[in-house]
Amino acid sequence: MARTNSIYQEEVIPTPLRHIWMNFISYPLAMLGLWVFIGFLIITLIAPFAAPYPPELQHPNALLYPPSWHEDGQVSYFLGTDDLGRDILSNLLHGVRTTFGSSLIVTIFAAFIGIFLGILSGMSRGLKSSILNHILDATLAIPSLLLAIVLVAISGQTLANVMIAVGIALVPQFMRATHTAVHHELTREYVVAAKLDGANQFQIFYNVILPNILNALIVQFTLAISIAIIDIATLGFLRIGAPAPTSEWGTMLADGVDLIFIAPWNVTFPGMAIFASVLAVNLIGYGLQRAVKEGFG
Amino acid sequence: MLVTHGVTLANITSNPRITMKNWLNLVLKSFFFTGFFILAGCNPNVENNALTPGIVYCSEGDPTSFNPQLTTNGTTTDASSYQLYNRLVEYDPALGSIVPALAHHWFINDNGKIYTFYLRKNVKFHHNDNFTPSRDFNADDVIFSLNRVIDSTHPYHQVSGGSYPFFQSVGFTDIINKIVKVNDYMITIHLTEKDASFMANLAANFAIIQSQEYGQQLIRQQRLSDIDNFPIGTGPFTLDSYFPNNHIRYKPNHQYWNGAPSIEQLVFDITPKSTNRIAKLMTGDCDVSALPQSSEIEIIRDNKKLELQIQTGLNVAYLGFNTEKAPFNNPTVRQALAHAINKRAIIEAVYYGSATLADSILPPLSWAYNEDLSPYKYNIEKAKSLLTQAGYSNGFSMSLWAAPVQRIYNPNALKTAELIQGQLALIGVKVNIITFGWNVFNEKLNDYAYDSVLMGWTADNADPDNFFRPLFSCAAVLSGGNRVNWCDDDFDEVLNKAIASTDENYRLPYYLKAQQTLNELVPLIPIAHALRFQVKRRNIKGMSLNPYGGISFSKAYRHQAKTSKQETQ
Amino acid sequence: MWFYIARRVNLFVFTVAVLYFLVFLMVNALPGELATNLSGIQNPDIAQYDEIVAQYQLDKSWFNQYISFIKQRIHGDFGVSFGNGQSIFNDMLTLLPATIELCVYAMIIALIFGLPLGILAAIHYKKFGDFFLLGTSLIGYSIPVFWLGVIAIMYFGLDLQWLPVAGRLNLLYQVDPVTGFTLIDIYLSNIEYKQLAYKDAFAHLIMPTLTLAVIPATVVIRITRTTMLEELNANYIKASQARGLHPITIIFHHALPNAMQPVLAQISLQLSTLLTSAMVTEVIFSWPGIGQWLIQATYQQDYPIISAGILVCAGFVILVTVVSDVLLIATTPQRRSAVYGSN
Repeated sequence: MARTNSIYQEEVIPTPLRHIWMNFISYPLAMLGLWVFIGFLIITLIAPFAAPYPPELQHPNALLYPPSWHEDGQVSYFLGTDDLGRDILSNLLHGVRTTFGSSLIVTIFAAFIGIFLGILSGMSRGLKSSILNHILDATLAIPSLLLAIVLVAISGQTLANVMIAVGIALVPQFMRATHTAVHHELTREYVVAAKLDGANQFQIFYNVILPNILNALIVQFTLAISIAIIDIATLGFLRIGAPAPTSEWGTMLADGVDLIFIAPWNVTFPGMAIFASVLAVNLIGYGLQRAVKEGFG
Repeated sequence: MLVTHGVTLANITSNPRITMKNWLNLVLKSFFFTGFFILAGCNPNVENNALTPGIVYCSEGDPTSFNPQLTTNGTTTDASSYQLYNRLVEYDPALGSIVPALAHHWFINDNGKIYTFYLRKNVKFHHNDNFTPSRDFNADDVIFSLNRVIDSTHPYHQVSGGSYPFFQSVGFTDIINKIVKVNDYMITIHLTEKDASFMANLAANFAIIQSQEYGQQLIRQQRLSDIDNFPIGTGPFTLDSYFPNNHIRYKPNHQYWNGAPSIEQLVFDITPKSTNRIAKLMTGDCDVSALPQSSEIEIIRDNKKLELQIQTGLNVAYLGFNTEKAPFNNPTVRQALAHAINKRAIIEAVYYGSATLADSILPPLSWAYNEDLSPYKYNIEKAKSLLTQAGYSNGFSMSLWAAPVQRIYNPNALKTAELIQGQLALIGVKVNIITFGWNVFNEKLNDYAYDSVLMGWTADNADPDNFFRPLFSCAAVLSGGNRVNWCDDDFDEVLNKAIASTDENYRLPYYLKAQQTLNELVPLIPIAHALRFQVKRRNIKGMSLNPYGGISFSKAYRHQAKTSKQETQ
Repeated sequence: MWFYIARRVNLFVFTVAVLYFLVFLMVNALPGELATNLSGIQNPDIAQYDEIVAQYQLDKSWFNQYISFIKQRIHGDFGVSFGNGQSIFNDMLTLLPATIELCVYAMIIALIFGLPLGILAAIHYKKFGDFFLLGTSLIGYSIPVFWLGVIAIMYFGLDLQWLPVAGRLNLLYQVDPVTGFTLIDIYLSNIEYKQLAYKDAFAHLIMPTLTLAVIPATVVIRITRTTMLEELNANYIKASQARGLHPITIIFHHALPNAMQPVLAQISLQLSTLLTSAMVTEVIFSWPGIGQWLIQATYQQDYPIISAGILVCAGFVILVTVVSDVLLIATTPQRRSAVYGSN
């Protein structure tokens, strides 16, 4: 298909990636997800400057203020305060770094390791592949929460350990997705053609397989981000995550449950934050899936 | 694709030929929806059901065992002391004095060292699958129970840990010279010296009487620890079953000497989170609940089905320092931190105002309270200057242990810890909050690995000694109760002198001096004396709020307003 | 087919062996004495310590230790818990049925609601119904399960007071745990007024099950929609339409059975996520199952329970995966050839 906006009748054929991008742009919901995602990214970077107060700062005179649109609320504590007088908005903004930011970092690392291992196992054959497969099955069978619990039990309760635990739980999923994708590709005719051309393993991988599995990997990546966000928030909710006074959405929600009778906004806002971020990522993932499937024509 | 071929949903459903699967689908879905709404309409709580007259109590945790002798943990005593057992004597808060229980009469000789007890007849022990008593309660059981605590050669002394913290802290082993059985229903206890708190200690939650016959049988069967895990006592309820972290089920003892309970079942529903307890209370899964959080008080007051009972508290919450660990072995450092704690803020945030600020370990209610103490006012500058004076102008970091459960003296230790963390940060002290599950927490405290800990104490009786010896004596360091790791022989001397007479005027100056010393050396910072709350559904009667901890259901019953069925007595 | 089943069983054994190895590594990495962490006996005296060393072969090479670790666990000896010294195996037997009950009911509800909605979405492809259902399923998939549970408790339990919010059954109904599944146990018990007990148990089941069922339901909707779309585009469907078969017959007799396979396959893959959500749901609703037990053990640093829990949960997931694989193969011969060709 030709797209052109120059007066010279040139044919500019978009690359596959650009195709996917143009498809993606045409889905309003997916674009919404993208904008929200970018918004969260920006907040991750500027949170300390954007937040009106330091998150741990307690205001003993401002306990349990409702959100500002309530008659008892104040504009200076825009979303209200919790029972120690900490501003909820500031905590939410800092929580973007903790929950959203760390899940991004975790997913990126897990993706690198998982894809690398998945490619190794996918390109291998026979007994080695079988064994790797079985190990993968065993690791995938362990619920991610349990893995995180054990790691935190072994090495103590810090944000770093939580991130490592969630990362380790994500790696097998990447491995599995990559492995399946690579296996699928290896059965294709153009791989055989490339081999007949004399390409070695690495060249086959880099030039033939990688471009074709990229789509599946990107989709898996967005899926993993949403899983990471929920996992970190769940660990925080169960109070196995980062210790006080780190602002983390799950922990804020757990604290809010104690106040559920008198200050339900402590539960609503962190929950909505988690929901919004996960929904945004899922929308992007859905958009990408559709864009990839709709293909090039 | 289906659409372009003329197939739409309208098309499908308007056609009279409907297949079996489709029908099944429809029927199942409608069944579930209607079923849901029918059930949603009626809340099947047991209130409407006059057929299971029992009471469910939402308790805050698992007991560590069913023998309150072995602990000072309130959760354990709640589950065992007044439900399963009796004591020789008991404390009646309404009268303010000791009243008879298993001993119906007693007298003390002139020099105050010989106590004679006349025991009650026709008191029956419980029976369970393994044991049926062949005789009533008599003097042998009293001697068995008391000797278990004080006599290290007693076959049960080392069973279940061998630690009797309350008794060790009040020096039972030293104060009791010998116990003599005069006849089956009369014993005399000989003390080594006068002790004004002795009767009060015998009336404490912990001084229960177990069955000697059961003990002997278990020795023959080689199952000694059963005595604490499958308990036999004389109390109003027997233990039916215990499902750890879930529930404890009691059945009434129909032969209880003080009147059999009017309920057919008592269940302790173990619910660590306060929000869950209140939620269960509101939906009818629980009838009485322990330790509501102060933030829930308003909600409870507004709810027509619930009733709130309030008591002024003989308790204290404190921040205790490990006085053997630097820098807390330096009193100046402790004084500095005392000036940096904003107690008013803690009372507002954690207790929602339902507590009195504590300047001394004793609450103002106590007759021995020292009103002339100079309190540590909240003063950041003074705190900083004291720190500099002690040589810590750059501050330091410290660990603060707090338990994640409600206690009578502190509804939310973790929140208190966070507040303190924020307050001490202002003077350059960095606080790390460390927490464990309640039972693990208590065990780990005995290792004294902490720098500071948020704890408290609920009095077992009205005697001021109850606040001092279990918390500050050298003996209490060994038995675990002296959380500040403080052993001062002069101070012990003062405490011992204070119990040498029953005359309050004689004892008062010693207690005033003790409080003065504590105020100067500040091994712990008293924070608040909490009001005691108990919540229950309105139709549960017969529950009184005991000021000295230890909940009792022996007189409780469910008031059935509508039914014609009467409870059988 | 038997060959395939044999292969699957072989795979199962091997995977379980790997699982045990991973847990063995974890137990060795836990802080504290190895003997204590393996057996659960804190501060063992000399006799007990020797027995533990003999049982777990702690004086021999790590391979021997690994083998004896497996042997002990297979014989049902999971040690005792730090907290109350009770046998972990016995505790597990009472708690596991509660979790399984929750998972099974949630899965059934997810299928009952998810399948028809997925089919509807496929039929209304690219029209409002499709977008609506897809949007709903996306939203449902993004809600954190603990938030959903807390909100449900807030509205249905506390505000409206329609449903109880914690536990399986009002504790005044004394029902003996024969099978561990409440509804069956009530049936088997001999308490009076079973009707009320059934109603009570059902009321307690509603909220946790529905909360847990949301995420699997959304997954089922999406997958059913995808596979149904694929099937409905296939040639044999066009052929049967050309023959004039009724649309409902086409959908339910021809397309659906073929579309079901990937759905059922996906379910077993979802199992470990379902278990995680079940554990969180149990904590929120105080449901006495494995999840709540494990989380409590984490707070109390009860290592024997944690390692036992991983073994049981992961083992359960592997077992169900293998069983569902075998069932799938037994009922759909087409898949077997695909399996033979793979590594």
